[in-house]
Amino acid sequence: MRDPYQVLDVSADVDDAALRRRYLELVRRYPPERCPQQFAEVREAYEQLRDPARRLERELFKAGGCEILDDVIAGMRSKLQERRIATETLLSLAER
Amino acid sequence: MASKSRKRAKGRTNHDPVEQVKRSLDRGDYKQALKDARVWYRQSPGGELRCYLEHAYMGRLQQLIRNGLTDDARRIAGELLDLGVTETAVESILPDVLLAVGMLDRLPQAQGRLTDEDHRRLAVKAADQAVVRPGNTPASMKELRGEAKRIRAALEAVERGDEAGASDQLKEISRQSVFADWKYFIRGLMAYYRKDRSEMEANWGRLAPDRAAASIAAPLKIMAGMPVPEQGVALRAKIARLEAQAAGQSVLSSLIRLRQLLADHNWAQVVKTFRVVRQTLRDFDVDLYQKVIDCLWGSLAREGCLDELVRFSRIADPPALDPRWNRAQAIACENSEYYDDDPRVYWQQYLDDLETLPWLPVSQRNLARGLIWLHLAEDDLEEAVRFRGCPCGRDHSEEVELAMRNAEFCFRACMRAAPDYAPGYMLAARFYREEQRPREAAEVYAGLLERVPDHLDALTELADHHVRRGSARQALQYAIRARDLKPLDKATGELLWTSQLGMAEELGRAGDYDQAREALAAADSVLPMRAADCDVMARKAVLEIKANNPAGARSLVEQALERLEEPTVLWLAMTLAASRYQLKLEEVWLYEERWREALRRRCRSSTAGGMCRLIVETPPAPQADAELSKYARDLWGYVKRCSRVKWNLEDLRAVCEFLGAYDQWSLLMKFVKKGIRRFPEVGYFHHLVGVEEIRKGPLRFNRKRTIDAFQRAILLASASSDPRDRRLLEEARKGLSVVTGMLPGVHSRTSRNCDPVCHWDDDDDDEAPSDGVPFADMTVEAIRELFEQTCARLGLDPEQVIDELNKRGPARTGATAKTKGLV
Repeated sequence: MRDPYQVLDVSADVDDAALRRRYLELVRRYPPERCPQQFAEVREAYEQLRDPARRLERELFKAGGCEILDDVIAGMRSKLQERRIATETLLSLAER
Repeated sequence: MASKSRKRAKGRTNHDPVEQVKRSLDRGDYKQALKDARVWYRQSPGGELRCYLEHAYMGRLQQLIRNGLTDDARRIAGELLDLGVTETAVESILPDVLLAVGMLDRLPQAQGRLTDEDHRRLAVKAADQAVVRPGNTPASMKELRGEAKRIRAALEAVERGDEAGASDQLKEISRQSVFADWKYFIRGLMAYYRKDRSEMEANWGRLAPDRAAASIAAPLKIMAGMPVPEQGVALRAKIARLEAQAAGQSVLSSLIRLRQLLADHNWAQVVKTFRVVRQTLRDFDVDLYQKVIDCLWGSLAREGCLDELVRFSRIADPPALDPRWNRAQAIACENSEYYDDDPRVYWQQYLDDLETLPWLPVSQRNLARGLIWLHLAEDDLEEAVRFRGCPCGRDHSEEVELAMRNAEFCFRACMRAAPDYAPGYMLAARFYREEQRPREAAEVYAGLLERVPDHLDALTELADHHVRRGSARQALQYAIRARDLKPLDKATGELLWTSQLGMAEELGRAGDYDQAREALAAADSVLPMRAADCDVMARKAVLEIKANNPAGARSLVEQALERLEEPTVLWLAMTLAASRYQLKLEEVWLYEERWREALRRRCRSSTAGGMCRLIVETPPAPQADAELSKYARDLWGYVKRCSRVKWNLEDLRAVCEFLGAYDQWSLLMKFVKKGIRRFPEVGYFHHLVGVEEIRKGPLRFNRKRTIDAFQRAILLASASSDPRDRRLLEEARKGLSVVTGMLPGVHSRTSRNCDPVCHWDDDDDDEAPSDGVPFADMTVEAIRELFEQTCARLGLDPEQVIDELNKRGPARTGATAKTKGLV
């Protein structure tokens, strides 16, 4: 199971209303009949975060591992990929 | 100076000039070699010296190119071309060198000896150079320069985000062109920015590995998370350069390195690397820095690396929720198998931290404290289970009792810390119920109802508790409230029905017959389909007898008899009801005699099932316990006779439940076998096999059989729509976890629980029976050795143990059959 905050793309201090808004937005984007896997993932993530006690319990006892770093690296890659690289920099990489 | 020149000249005269040049070449001192070779060649041209002169020119030329001194390199190349190249080895390198210094246009002089392959290679190199370093392409190569210009224009268009413009530039480049690789590269680059991985792979997959385009694509592939066969130092440097251009710092490389170290479980290096990169990460993005910290402490804690975690905590900022790293250390201790540190110490310190944690509002702080107490309670319960299942054979009752006391303390602390957290109450009540302490469980439910008045589970549990205690009036109150909350729920309906029956009993005993009749009518209205049940009819008839209305009673009995194949069940129901309504003893005996008489008849599935259901489902009135046991004994006799009955599933299940409730396990297992044979698709019977094995204890149970039984029960119960199977599923899963708890090798953190005698897996791994090797796969000698070691550990005499085993009867499994070979 991926980090529910990552799945819903919300910050750890998200309030209930914003969390629900985001959930509904994602459910509309991934309807269960067309994207069952994404829908299940979004739903599971929402279930984990909607109940404040469950959320706190998760925060208290979770010990995140490599999956957090994988997400961070993926996010980082995505960000870097969006930035245009100068032609001269690119061509300078041709040196072996 | 003059003396120095003299010395040098003198020195030279002492040596062969060819040797001297050769030595300089061998040393890689091309400058000196060229200098000397020129002087000596001028003095005596021709011969061997010319060969070395050409090599010296070429060596020096390559040296200058490497050092980026292009102008000097051009001058030397010009000198070499003026001299003329005769050496084959020099001639073969010459085109590449001329290409590098931008003098390829002077190549035709030497072209006569080039092969087609050389021409192709040179053309490709020239094309790459024209794109990468256009200044080095001679002006005479107009066509090459034109195409390269187009490629650069396309690259610049991509940089601007003008994909259409880039595609326009690439249109003119054919697939056969030496620039085709650049075309694919640029298309791949456009896909890279679009994050279109398949397009990227399709284009970059076509690049020739020795082309410049492929070297540029390699770090980009890594940035996009695509696999790259080799990642050397040069490639890492390129990624760092790219990152520096895109983000200002080389963050991704650091993260990828950390990820690799984590994957390699190189924890010490993880901490060291973090120390190096932490500032870069923090400067880049504080959120990212915090996420990396979360990942690292989490990984260290999950792996139980306490030492590394402590080192890490010294260099990392603590998470907002754990300002003194106590929580992280507690989790690390829980996952550690090698440390004697008690996680409780850290959890206690964390509870103190929570008192003042500014990050959480007070309500959340209290909830957090409650959750931690609950966590500790569960830990204690697990510890108790481990001790109960410890295979060492020693008496662990004191440890179990201590663990249970601790668990109770933690549950109570949880309820105090988070008084509005319902699951805390529910778990505490469940603990008391499982400990056979119903009064404390009821107190907990009542406490919960004070905080959450409409808590359905608390209401139903309390109603059930009072039904069992025979306090129908209180049971009814809770059952009515539960029914109001969930009017269509079957379970609450049944509870209300039972409460109404109990109420009727209480009123009937008190002589308030009209109200008792009303209560029975109310029960009928709650569950009309059960109004004609044997049990209900018997209760009604007994009430009428009690109310001095024998005609009414007779009519009710007759109605009930009409619905039955034989009266046995009704007479038992009448006997029980008569006892509960406190009829005169003679009347009770009358029905009892009728029942005993009926018991002599031929056994039937429906009769056995009906009677067992009556005994199990009817909550005993406090004063009727003794009678109930008496009737139960008579019923065993009847059930024992039911060897040739064609069983109905529900009846057989009721019989098994009855035998289980009265601890008749040997008889029960006979019926379980029948159940498995006749109804193999029912999980209940398989579950009972597992339960029976567990009852035998850690030294006698058959592990494989137990696991198979529970697994089968879980499989079947998951596929079943019977609501009873939902509870069964939970119990079977719990049973399966208990089985693993009974085995050596499952003592996590046992070092702080049992003394070393219990630790087959901790201290003497080489001697311990391997969890992974079933006894059936071990040789007799290996089992003998293991057996003797175990006896020695437990202070037992092996011979005596074998005698005892032989007395207990024949071997039941392959494993025990093998142990017979020990004797």
